[in-house]
Amino acid sequence: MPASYQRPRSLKPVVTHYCGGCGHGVAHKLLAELIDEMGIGERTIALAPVGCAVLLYCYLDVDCSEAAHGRTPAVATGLKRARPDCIVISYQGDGDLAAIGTAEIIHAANRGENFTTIFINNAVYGMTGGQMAPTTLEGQRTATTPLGRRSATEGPPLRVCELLANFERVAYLARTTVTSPRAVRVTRQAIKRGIEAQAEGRGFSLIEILAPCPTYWRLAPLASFTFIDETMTKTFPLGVFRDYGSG
Amino acid sequence: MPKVRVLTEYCKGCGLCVSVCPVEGLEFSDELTSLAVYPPRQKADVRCTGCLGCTLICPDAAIEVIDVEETSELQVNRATARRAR
Amino acid sequence: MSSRSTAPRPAARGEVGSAASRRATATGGGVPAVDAEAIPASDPRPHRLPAGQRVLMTGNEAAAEAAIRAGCRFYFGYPITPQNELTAYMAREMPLAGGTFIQAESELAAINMVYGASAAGRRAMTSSSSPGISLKQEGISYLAGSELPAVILNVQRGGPGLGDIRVAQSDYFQATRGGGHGDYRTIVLAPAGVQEMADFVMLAFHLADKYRNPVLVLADAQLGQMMEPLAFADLNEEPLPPKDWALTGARGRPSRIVKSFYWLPGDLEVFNQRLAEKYARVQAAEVRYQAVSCDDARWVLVAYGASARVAKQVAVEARRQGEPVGLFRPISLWPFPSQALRELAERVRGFLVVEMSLGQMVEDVRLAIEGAAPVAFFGRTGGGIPTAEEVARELRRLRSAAGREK
Repeated sequence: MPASYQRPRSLKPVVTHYCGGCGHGVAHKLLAELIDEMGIGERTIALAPVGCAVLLYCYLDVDCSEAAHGRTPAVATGLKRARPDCIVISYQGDGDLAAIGTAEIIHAANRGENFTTIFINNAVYGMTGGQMAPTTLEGQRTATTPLGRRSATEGPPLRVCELLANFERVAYLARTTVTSPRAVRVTRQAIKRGIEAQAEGRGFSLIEILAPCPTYWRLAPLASFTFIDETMTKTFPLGVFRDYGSG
Repeated sequence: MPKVRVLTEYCKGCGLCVSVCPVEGLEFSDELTSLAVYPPRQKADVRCTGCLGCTLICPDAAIEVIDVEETSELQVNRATARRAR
Repeated sequence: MSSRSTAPRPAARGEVGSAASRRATATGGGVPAVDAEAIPASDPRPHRLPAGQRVLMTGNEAAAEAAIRAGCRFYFGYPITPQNELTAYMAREMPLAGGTFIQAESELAAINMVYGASAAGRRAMTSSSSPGISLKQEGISYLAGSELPAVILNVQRGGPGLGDIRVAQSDYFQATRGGGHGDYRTIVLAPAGVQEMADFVMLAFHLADKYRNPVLVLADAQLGQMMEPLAFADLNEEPLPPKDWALTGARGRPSRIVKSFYWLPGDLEVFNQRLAEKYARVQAAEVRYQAVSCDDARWVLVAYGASARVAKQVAVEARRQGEPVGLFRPISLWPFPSQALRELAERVRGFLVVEMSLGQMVEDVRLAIEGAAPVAFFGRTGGGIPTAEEVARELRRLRSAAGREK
């Protein structure tokens, strides 16, 4: 079988505004690939967060809505309850999900709301100019931690997968990266498992993707991969945290 | 046989594909695109292995791998390469 | 793990929607063939009252029942006094009607759940009281900016801050001046009794769909808690525009986007102008008010909601004494009945605005009549309710002062 790959149909023919090497690009691409492969484009509704991915609806060719900052899980709840036959993909960054939206994600996960969350963790607020995120690492310099984050004053980085790992109605929970072709394949499979959990009505699914932000990490794309592999994963270990009820 | 096709209109020149290719089969071209970047291109003398690593790593879905018809000469070269691995 | 089989979903699939959509779901076709039906065809509750039958209910419960009868099948709320009876009623009745009830984690979450359900083409509602409505302002701004229909009920209580749990009308500014950020309007309806609580909630859903806009029903603790007889009306038969913008899954059509973000230079201004045109249409068509014995009145009381009940008593009593007093009761607080008031101002000696606040609607009255007649204000606030005696005394004082000036 000859190896081949084509740009997914569900990606609009538009150049994204994301920086070169940005993790959002890979996540969008994988979502589009899976939407094509699983044939769910006509029943997928995606949610754009506030953050760099606010323009997600310019790139994914499915029904899309915005959500107010952090409220994406609440909007997803309303959407999925209203259209249970649709596949609802909630897409959030680290500020959206782990700062302003902590209540919403925790309660949606606790209720076991049957949608899939893609959580892009790049340890910084990109859209607003590189400020500290809840997931910013100890010692990491950002616009609001110019001397480096210190647990004593800012608190330690927030681990979302660990937080949600004991929630009974979370069906699938995984943390992956995109720092190598193999890692991208693993992420793709994880997202697929999350969508399957939704399609089978098994409850809440979330895939946390450790993603590079070359611009605000002040690293070239390849060096940003190294940062994830050698540093970030020490704080945010990879793995599948929950995988319940699958066939 | 697999062959790389770069969609230069989407490429941002991040160079990740060049870095991850297992046979160092990609290089930066010297022609600027409309986005003012140097996109990659398959090296003339390196066979694409079809591993799809570049398509996986690309954040912009700007690189494809297509299947092109092999000439007999290329088939022999591929067989040689396989034996050498 | 058998618990997985109880993943959350509406009470039963397929009962919400037209017959066509039910057929589609039953055959496992997934997304219904009919695009985003707004109003469910049936209410399977065996105890559902027939339209027109009189019943005794509290305002809160009447509002809840009216929402269900208007075809709302999505209610998201959070407990806050004095509207908890509405939330409890929804918790019990909404699933029985085949709908979805969620006690959200906050008022913030609730309004965003409304946003989601509305974006999906469904009639959705939330209710709260003053501090909770403050929390919803961001969501309401987003609803207006995304042109999504929604109904929000505010059972006002005293403020600012935690205030108290008793009746007040101090959210008029919040309700009519946007409350949230940006150039938008919510249609605001002010009931003055339990019958109107029901009628205006049903009207709110209709207007929300008609104009693709959030509609606020501005009630208060007194109206919410009081019990009066009422009868539920039939659903408004006026045809509504199809929800051809709703997110239902892009089957056989281009994908849609629900958003309020316009980042290219100039685009947002164009959009804001479009909103302005919409609001002009609302102002032209949806002004509502009640004028009680105003035709030959020389003095007019202006009040809405619960204080209008007191003002009406004063006007009726004054008429009994042969005094030319009327009551002008705005029902739509936005669009405000400015023109009717302006016309009235030509022939009266003065207005007395009565509110349970430090004076909020009085500013709109003054704006409306543009100095054509004097406008005085009498208010109680912080849970205080004006008595008929107090208002009558104030009116007498005004009239005698005016008489002396002549």
